[in-house]
Amino acid sequence: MADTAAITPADHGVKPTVSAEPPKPRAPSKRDQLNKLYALPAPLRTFPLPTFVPHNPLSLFHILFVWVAQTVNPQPAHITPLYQGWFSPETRSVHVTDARSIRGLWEQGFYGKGSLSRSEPQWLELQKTRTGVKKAAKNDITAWEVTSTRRAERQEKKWERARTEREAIEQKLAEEAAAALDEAAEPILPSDLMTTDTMTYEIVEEVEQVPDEPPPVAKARYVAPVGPLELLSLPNSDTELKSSTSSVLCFSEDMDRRFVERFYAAPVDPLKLLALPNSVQDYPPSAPNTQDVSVSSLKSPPRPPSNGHAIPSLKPRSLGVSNKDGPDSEDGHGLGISAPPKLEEVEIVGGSDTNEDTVDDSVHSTHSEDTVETHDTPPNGSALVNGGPSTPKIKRRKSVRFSPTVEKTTFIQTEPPSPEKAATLKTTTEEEPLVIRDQEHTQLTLEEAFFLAYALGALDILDPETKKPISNQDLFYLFRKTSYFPPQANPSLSPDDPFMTNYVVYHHFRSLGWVLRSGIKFSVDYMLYVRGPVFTHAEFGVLILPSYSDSYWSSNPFLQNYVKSKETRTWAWMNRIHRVITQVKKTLVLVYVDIPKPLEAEEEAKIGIDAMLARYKVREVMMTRFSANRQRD
Amino acid sequence: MAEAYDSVSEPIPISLIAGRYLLFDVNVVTYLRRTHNICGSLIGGIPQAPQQNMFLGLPVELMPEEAALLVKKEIGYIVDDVAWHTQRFNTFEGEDRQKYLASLRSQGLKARKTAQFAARKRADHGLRKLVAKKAIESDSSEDESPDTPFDGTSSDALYDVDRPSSPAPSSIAFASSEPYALTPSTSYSPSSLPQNSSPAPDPPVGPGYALFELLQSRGYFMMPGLRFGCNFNVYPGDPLRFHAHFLANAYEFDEEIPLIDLIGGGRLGTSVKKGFVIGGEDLDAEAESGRKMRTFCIEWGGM
Repeated sequence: MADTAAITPADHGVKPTVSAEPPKPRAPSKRDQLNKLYALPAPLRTFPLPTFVPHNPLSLFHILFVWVAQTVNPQPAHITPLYQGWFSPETRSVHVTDARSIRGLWEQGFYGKGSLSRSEPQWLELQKTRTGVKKAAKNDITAWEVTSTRRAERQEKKWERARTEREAIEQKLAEEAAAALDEAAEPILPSDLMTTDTMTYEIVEEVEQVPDEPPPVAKARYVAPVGPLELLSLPNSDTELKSSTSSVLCFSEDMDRRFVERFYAAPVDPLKLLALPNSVQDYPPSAPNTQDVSVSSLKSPPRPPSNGHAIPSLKPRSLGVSNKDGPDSEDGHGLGISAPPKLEEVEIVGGSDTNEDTVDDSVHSTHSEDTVETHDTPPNGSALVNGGPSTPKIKRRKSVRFSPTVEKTTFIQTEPPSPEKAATLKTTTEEEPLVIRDQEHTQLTLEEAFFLAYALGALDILDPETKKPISNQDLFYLFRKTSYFPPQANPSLSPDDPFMTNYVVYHHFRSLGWVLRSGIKFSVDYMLYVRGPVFTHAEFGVLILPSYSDSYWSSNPFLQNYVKSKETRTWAWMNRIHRVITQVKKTLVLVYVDIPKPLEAEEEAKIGIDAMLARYKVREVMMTRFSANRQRD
Repeated sequence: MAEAYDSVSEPIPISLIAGRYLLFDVNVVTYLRRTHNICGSLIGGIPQAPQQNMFLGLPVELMPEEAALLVKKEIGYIVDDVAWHTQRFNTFEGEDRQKYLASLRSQGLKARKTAQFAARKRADHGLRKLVAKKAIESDSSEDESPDTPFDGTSSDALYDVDRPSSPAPSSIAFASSEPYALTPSTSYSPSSLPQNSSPAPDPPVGPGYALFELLQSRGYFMMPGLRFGCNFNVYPGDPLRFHAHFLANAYEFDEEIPLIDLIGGGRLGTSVKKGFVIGGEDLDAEAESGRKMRTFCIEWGGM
C-alpha cells in the first residue's frame, strides 16, 4: 500500500494541503461506533428521568413533565414486538430466524451464535464480500475475516519456521554426507580426488544454469542418495551396475519421457492435487497444451516443501512462459494477465484493475487492502491452503475477485488455482447480480433462551408444531426434560438436572452484569466477558460443579453413592482444565451450585419457578496456581 | 557399576511402604529402566543439595501399574516392608543378629576405606601440584632459594614450612579404623528375603492398567501424567532422551466420556505438541486373542 501511495503523483500533491488544513470533525472512532452499536446491555429499554439541577428550578418541571408523561402514557420497556425464537427439539436449542431478532439479540447482550459463524452471525456479510456483491470497504472487515487472516499469517509463519529448521537440518546432513564422502574417498583415491571434485563442481554449475534438466546420474555417485528418486535410480544388482554406462547414454534420449514421468508422478502433495483439472473439459485437449501443463507442474516441483529455496531457480522460466501470454508490463500499473516480476505481486489478477487503475488510486489502495483480506482460508477451511511454504503466494491469485471485470479471468472457488490455465481458458461467468439467500440462523442455548423469556421477558419461544408461544412454566419443564440426552420423556425432575444447574449459574452471572458465552472450546461451561466479546477477551472460565451439601443427599447409602459419582473428580482432570484455561490467559472460576433436596411434582408446581430457583445457592472459587518463580514480579 | 548392574537377579523385591511402591537400589533402577522400559519417578532428596526439588534422587517410586506389571511378568515381587521388618527384627537373635551386625560393620568399613582412599588421592594430587608450582618458581628465581629440598615425599618440606611441629589433626581421623555408621535403606540384606512369599496383595490398578500394558509392550516408556492432566505421559524412548509424544488417558470400554473432557485433553495435547490418546479394553472381545485394546489419538484441529 505504501508503494502505491508513493507512486501516484496525485497523492503527493494532496498530502501537504491536508496536513495544513484545520482538523476536520473526525469520524467516530471504532470504539465510539462499538459503544453506540452495543449501547444496550440487555434487550430492554429504560426511560430515566432527566437530571435535577438544584440551581435551575426549571429542571424540576422537566422532571415532573417526564414523570407525568410516563405515568399517563407508559412506554413498554420491551422492544416491541418481542423477539421470536423457535424451539428445536432436535438440536436442543432455540432457533431465531428473522433478521431483526438475530441482530437485536446479538447487539443487546450478545445472545446466541450464528449457525454458520464462529459466534456473531456474519455468514451473509461474508458471502456478499466474498462474491463481490458488496464492495468491501476499507475498514469493513468482519471479525471473522480478521481472525482468519491472523490465522493464515500465523500458519505461514509456522511453515516458514518449519522450513528454515528443515533447511538447517538438510544442510547439516549434506555437510555430514560430504564429510563422510571425503573420509571415504581420501584413503582410496588420493590422486583422483581433485578431478572428481572439480567434476562434481562443474556438474552442479551446469545444473544451475539449466535448471529443468534432471540431475545427472553421475552425481549420485558422489552425493549420498537420500531422495526417493536417487534411491530408485540406484543400481539393483551388479549386472545393472556394469551396464550402467549404456543406460547413461540412452538416458539423454528418453529424457523427455522421464521428465514427464518425474513431474507426472502420482500427485500426492497438496499443490499438485490442487493443480489437477477438475473435469475432462478442463483438461487441455491437444498437444500444444502439454507443454503448458508441464510448466504449471514445474512450478510446484514434486519435492518436499522444505526445498523451497530451490524454487527461485525455476521461477524465471515459468514467468517467462506466462509472459508470452500477456503484454510485457513490469511496472506498478500492471496490465492484465502479465506476470509481474515477483511472485508476491502475482496477485494482481488479471486485468483486474485495468480500467480502475487508471481512474483513481483510491481503488488502488483498496485493491492492495483486498489482497490482505483475500489471503484468508476459504470458508470450508481446507487444509490445503497452506499446503507448502510457497503455496500462499501462488494461491493469492485465485481469490481476488472484487471487481466484476475480474470475474472473467478468475476462477470459481472450487477450481484449482492454476494461473496458466486462467490465462488460456476463458471462463465465461455470467455477469448478473448474485442474490444470496441468507441460510444462517441464530441458535440460543436453552439457558439463554430461558433467561430471555423468563427473566427478561424479551423473547417469545414458539412451539414448532402448534406455532404458538410456550408459557414460561411449560418452557421450564420442557427445557429440563430436553437437557438430558436422550431427552427424558417422563422426567423424575431431579433438582440437579443439567438445565437447572447451568441455568442457576447463568442467571446468577447475567444478573450481575456479566456476559456469558459457552466455554466449550476451552473445556469449561461458560466464559465470562466484562461487556461482551467485541470489547474484550473473556477474563474468566466458569466450571460448574454440583455440590450436594444438603443433608438429604447423605441420608442413605444409595444417595451417597450417587453423590459420590457426581462429585468425584481427579486431580489430573483439574490440572488439565486449569492448564488449558491458563494457556489462553484466563482465570478458572469454580462455581459450586448447592443442590437442594428434591421436591414432589405438585409441590414444585405450587411454589413456582421463582421459589424453585431461590432454593439454589451459588458459590464461586477463583483458582490460580501459585508459582514461586513466576509470581514474584 | 557394570557388573553390579549385571548382578541384578530377576525377581526384584519391590518395597511397599505406606501404599507406595519403592525401589532403593540404583542397580535395580538402572536394570529396570534399561531392560524393561520402566522408569518410575525419583522422589528422594539429594543430600548434597537438600534445598532444591528440581532434581531428585533415590528412592524411586513406581506407579501401581508399573508394580503390577512387574509382578505379573514375574520380574519382581512385592514385599510389605513394614510387616517384614517387624517380623524379622522380632525374631532376630543369636547368630543371625551377629551376622547382620557384622555385615553392617563390614559395609561401614568398606565405605570408610573408600573414603580414605579418595581423600589420600586428593591430598596427593594437591601436593604434587603444589610441588610442581614451587619447582617452576624456584627455576625462575633460583639464586634466592637455591637449596630448598624437593624430594618425592615433599610433605615433610611442606609441613616444615607451614606448621613445623603440630601433627595434622586430620591424620588422626585418617588413621582411625572405625567403620562409618551406616543407615541401611532396607532392613534386610537381599539374600535374606523370602523368595516366594506373597503376603502383599497385587497392586490395585484402575482401568489404566490395560492401556499401560499395551503401550509398555510396544516399547513405550510411561511416566505419571499428572502434569498434563492424564493417566500417563507416553515417551517413545527413555524420558531422558525424548519428549513425550502422547498423553494417554484410559477409559472403561462402555464408559461415557464427557465431550468436554475430550476437548480439554485434545486441546491441551495439541498445544504442547503431543497427541491425546484414549484407550479402553473391550472386555467382550477378550475371548479371541488375549486383550483387545482400542486406542484413538485425538488432535485439536483449530489451533
